Amino acid sequence: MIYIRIIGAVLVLASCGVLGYYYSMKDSWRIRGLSEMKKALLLLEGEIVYAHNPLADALAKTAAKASSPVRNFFIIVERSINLGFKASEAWRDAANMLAAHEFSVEDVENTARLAESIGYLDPKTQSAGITMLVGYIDAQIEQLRQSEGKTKRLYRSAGVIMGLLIVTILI
Amino acid sequence: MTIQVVFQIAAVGILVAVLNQVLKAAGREEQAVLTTLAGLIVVLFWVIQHVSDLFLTVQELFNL
Repeated sequence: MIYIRIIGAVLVLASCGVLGYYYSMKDSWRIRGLSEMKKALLLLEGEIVYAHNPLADALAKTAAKASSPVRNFFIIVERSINLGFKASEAWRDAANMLAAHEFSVEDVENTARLAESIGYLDPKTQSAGITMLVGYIDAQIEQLRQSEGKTKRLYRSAGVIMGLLIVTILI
Repeated sequence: MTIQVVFQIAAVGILVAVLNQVLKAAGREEQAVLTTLAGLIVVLFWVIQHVSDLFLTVQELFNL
């Protein structure tokens, strides 16, 4: 009987610790995702403004140089455009897919907002839209880097302490 | 009432105090207060039956 209690206590403690660790890493993953998105957007801007490539080609070339999930995002937009969908619709639908990854609701909304200019306005206006999104990403990364250390320590310690509390209460 | 209850209350008290400090250090004062209140409620939940027994015993003892 005592062994089952010990195993249960260890399981509760381990799961609370892992949960705390998972929440502590969310900000790091978001920073990584946003940095990837920024790199890809700058590549896309170069393809549109300087290389004057059609949007589908620009998206394909950008996707080839990006990593998942940003690569998948650009691939989905490129394939939707090749299937005949409007660029703005394709961009907006693909942006909603990002919510399933490390991006926040705000990140998805701001990325979807670029659909208004991508693909049909002149290169200068598209570049301005991309620059605005890159500016938002920079601000978010800066904010996350400042709070990252504190948040990590909080969630990791809180996870273990909550596990110990639950074990103490249930024992 | 066994001594185990005393140790459990002490452990909960220490852990709640540590969690309170951790949350305050992270700037989450409201959550720190809520955690302290939750710990207090849990301990009261354990203790209330014993306190009730104490009052009944005193009542019987002094024929009140």
